[in-house]
Order: sequence, then structure tokens, then C-alpha cells
Amino acid sequence: MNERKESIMDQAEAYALGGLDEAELAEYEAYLLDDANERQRAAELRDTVGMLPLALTPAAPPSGMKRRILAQVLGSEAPAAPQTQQQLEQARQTIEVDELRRAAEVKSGIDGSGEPAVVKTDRSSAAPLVEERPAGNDTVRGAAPRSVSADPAAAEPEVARRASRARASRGLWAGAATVMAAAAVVLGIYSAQLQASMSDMRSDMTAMEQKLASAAQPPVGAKVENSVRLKGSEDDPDAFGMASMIRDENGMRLVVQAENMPSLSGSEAYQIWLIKDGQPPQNAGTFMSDSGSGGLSLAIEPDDYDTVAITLEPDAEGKEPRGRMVLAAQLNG
Amino acid sequence: MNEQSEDLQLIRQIAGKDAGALEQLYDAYERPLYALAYRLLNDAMAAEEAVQELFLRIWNNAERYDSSYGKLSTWMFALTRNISIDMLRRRSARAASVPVEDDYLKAIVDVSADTELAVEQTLQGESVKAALNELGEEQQQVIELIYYKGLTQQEVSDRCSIPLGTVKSRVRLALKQLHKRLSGMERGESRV
Repeated sequence: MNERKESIMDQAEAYALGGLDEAELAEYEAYLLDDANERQRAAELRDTVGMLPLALTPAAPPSGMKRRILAQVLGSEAPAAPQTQQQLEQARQTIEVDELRRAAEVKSGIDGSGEPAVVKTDRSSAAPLVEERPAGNDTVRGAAPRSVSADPAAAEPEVARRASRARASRGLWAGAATVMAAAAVVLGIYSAQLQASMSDMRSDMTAMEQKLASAAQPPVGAKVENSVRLKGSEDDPDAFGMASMIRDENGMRLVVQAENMPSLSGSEAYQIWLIKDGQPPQNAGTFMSDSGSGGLSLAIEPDDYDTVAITLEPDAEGKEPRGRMVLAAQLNG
Repeated sequence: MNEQSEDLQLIRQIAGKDAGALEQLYDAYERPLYALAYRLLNDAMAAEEAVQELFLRIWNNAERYDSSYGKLSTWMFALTRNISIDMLRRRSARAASVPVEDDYLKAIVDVSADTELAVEQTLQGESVKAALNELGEEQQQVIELIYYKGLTQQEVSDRCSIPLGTVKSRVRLALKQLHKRLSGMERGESRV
């Protein structure tokens, strides 16, 4: 067993007790992923620690605590999914209502294209109907022409009256046709707007369905290929961090995290460098932090670099290291 | 079916949104969970809040329990500790809260819990207490500071001015000794 493995396994008890800091925890958990025996050992140690509360002096729960807690818990809903389901259902209902309204409008004269269905611009059919039908006849199409009076004496004045009525009728019908045409155009615009809203809602529904589907998917696992501890330099012995090579479905990423770094002042910044033996360091990113902690993640090929380092730079503009090194680690160490 | 299988069955039923199973689990663990939260928070209302948060998480995420992590009680105690320590940290970030009088606790004792189970837990607790008493004072101190105060080994080293290596060594020895003493009770031989 090499020293490194031994050193990590020595963390098992502190891990079970909860005494590791974040970097140590990440290192130990990364190690657990690859070692079934150590996982078993860690579970047993956790069970030992899990018995500690039994030794506590009993503290009886307050009266009614069970009722309050169960009411609160069972009255609650899992926050994200049902809410999304509810939104989805609402969107679906809105679309159904709009579709029904749209169908009703088509029946009453509005077609799906937004064009008014009853407006007849062909005078060969519309004009004779206006000419031959009495005013007040509200049936525009399909009505039989009313029969002419059979009284010859009354024929002439009747003709005059009919001519007069016809003129009035033409005026009224023309007015009615204008109003109907205007109403049809307005309804057409309204219909087009409804269609646009429906389209938006369909898009929202699709997006929500996708969201639901992705929420139902189990998280995609990421495998920690390698994890090394970043060590503080002589000037910064308290600084520490972790650099982990993580492979997921998108490929390999290097995740660097650092803690307890010296404070920044003025325009100072931390810069992360990746180094391949014999080649100039590559700037992998810059970050600033008032708390002395920070990090970044970037895509990387495993054999591209063999060292990662964090430096304290006078500013964030450097193309090559100018400041002092704070943390470093061999990536393949 | 042993106790651990019963717990597994219960947690599966809870994952299937069986409210009766949740109540059964609550009855089985209410007292030790509350005792742990109270020990960590020293505040009856906060302890109740922690237990409530625990059961909310169990109800909404029961399927996340993985038996390879350890016993169900181990998982629940670990969650309760994490919730309580998070509350402690938030509390310390704000102004210090007014501690609740111990008398408050004594005055409002709930006597509805399962007596048989309570006795069983008390007996197990006595065994754990005996195992803890066999530890050296320094080992007990690191357990107190790490497990009940939420410190890391490094923080224990800083606070007590003890070399980090010494803290680590005390933790390892303490846990090894406890594990040796309690391993018979750990897996499946009792509910907790």
C-alpha cells in the first residue's frame, strides 16, 4: 500500500465523525468511489458514530411536537415537480379553452386564417341579393325572393315604393355590410392574436414538458479520475485546495478549489496556471475573492498538463506568471 | 425480518408516499432524534425545527436513502446533525439567540412515545455511554468538539492549540475503540 493511499485511509474515522474540512472530504469521497472495501469500512464507522446520540441524556420532545411536525410534513408538497405539473395543467386547460373558443368563432364566421368568412366581395352573388330582398330581412343567404303583389292597380305606386324601398334597402345593406366587414376584420385580428398566444402557450407547454422529463431523469454521474491536494507555498502554509480531474458525459474537466489564500488588495487577483514540463505556463483563469477562497472548472485533456498552480498576481491581465505562487500540485502525483 | 429490513421496508413505503409508514418511522426515532438536535442546538424550539426539517427531507427524498451508506438510523442521525450544525452556523452568524430554559423542556414532556422502544433505546444508550466512558478524556474531548460542536480536526487543533497530527491520532484511536466495543450492536441486531 503506498503512502498516499495510507494517508487517505487514515481519514476514515474523521470522515465518519464529521471532522474533515471540504478539501479533505472531497479527497476521501473521491477515494471511496474506487474502493468498495473502503466504502464498507466507512459505512461501518458511520454506523458506530450513528450510535453516539443514544448515549445522550434523554430530552423529551415538547408536547404536541409529533402532531405539529406530521401536519407540516404531510401537508407539504414536494416543491418543484407538482408546481410544474400544475402549471402544465393550467397551460393545457388554457389551450383547450382557446381551442374551443376558436372553433366557436369559426362556426360563427371567423376562420382560422383570420379572414372574415361572410364577407362576399363577389358582387355577382352579393348585389342581386341586396336588390331583391326586402330591408329587414336578416337572412343574407338562401332565402327565397318574396313574391310580387298581384294587384295591377297598385302596380305602379308599388313599383315606386319598391324602388324607394330598394334604395333604402341598398343603403342599409351597404351600411350593414360595412359594419360586418369591420367587425370581421377586428375579429380576424383577435383570432390571429389568439393564435399567437396559443402558439406561445404551446411552446411554454413543450418547454415545461421537457423540464419535467429532465427532472424525472436521474442525475448523470461524474467519475473522479484523479484528485490531488494543492499545497500552500512556504509563504502561505495555511492555504490549501483540491484539484480534481472529473469525467462526465461531456468529457474531462479539471475542477480547482482553494481555501485560506492570502487576502487580495488593490487590483490583485489569483490566477490559475497549467504547466506541462518544459513549456510555458498556460493561463487557465483568473478569480478574485475577499474571503480567500475560490476556484474554477475547465475542460481539459488528461495528458495536456502535469502541474496546476495558483499565483497571487498584481492584476488580472497577466499572460504569464508575475506574482508569487500560493498553491501548487502535480496533477499526476 | 430483522430491524434493518423493517427500516428498509418502511423507507420504501415512505418513498411511495405512505403517510402511515412515515408516522411509524417518526414514532420509532422521535426521541433520539430530538435528543440529538437538542444536544446540538440547546434550544427546544430550534430542535423541533430541526426534526421537522429532517422529516420533510425524508418525506420528499426517501428514495435517496442508500443502505450502503449505513443503517437508516445512521442516515437520519447524520442528517439531523447536518441540519442542526447548519442552523448553529446561521445562528452564530446572526446575533446570539436567547437560550431556552431547561425548565421549559421538563414542563412539557410528551408521554405518548412507545415505552418498549424507549426502554430498548435507553439500554443501547447505556452501552454506548459505557463505551464512551472507557475512552480517555482527550478522546472524549475531540468527539465532543467534532461531533457535537461541528468543528473540523483543523479547527480543534487551532482552538485547543494541539498539533493537528495529535488531533487526528486521537480521533482515529477513539473511533477504533468505539467501533470495537459497539460493532456487535451496529448492523441489524437492533433498530437503532
